Amino acid sequence: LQGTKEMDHMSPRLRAFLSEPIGEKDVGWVDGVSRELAINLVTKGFTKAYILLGQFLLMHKNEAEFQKWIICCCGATECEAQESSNCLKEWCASFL
Amino acid sequence: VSLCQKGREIGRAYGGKPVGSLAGIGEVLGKKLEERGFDKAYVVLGQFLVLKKDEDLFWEWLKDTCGANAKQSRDCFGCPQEWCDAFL
Repeated sequence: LQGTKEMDHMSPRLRAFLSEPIGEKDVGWVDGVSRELAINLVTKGFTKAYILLGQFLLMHKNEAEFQKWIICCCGATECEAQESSNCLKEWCASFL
Repeated sequence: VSLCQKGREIGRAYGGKPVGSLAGIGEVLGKKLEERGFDKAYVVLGQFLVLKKDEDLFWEWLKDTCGANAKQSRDCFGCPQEWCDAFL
């Protein structure tokens, strides 16, 4: 990860998510995903963080589209949508 | 995360490279995938992840989307699988 300055502005949760492989982590590990949102996501089959990442990639890493989807289809709040899309965007920037 | 050389090479394949750069996906299949919106290698990776990394489901999807045969699908599957081993 580059730039300790950027890291300082990250939430501890985001920093943790970016600092190690996501492997088989549950979707609740994604920054911005509250317990309620996690339940909704799991109900829709998005049980793991990597599956949500897959959805983000399928949407061509378009944050606006992803946010719209997670709000409309999964009941996320705007804040949750922004935080989770930012988290996945940051992950892609680090690993893709 | 320390990345080995191979890991970096695999990672670069998914950076922003066109879908035709994936193993098993030549010009013809690549064009069909692009027409369906799967224009970059990372979008195919996304599909693979959404299918929960299941090889059979991935083949079904690839067959339906661009008419890939079993061998092409196997070759193509190897790519995201390797990437997952390195990065996930």
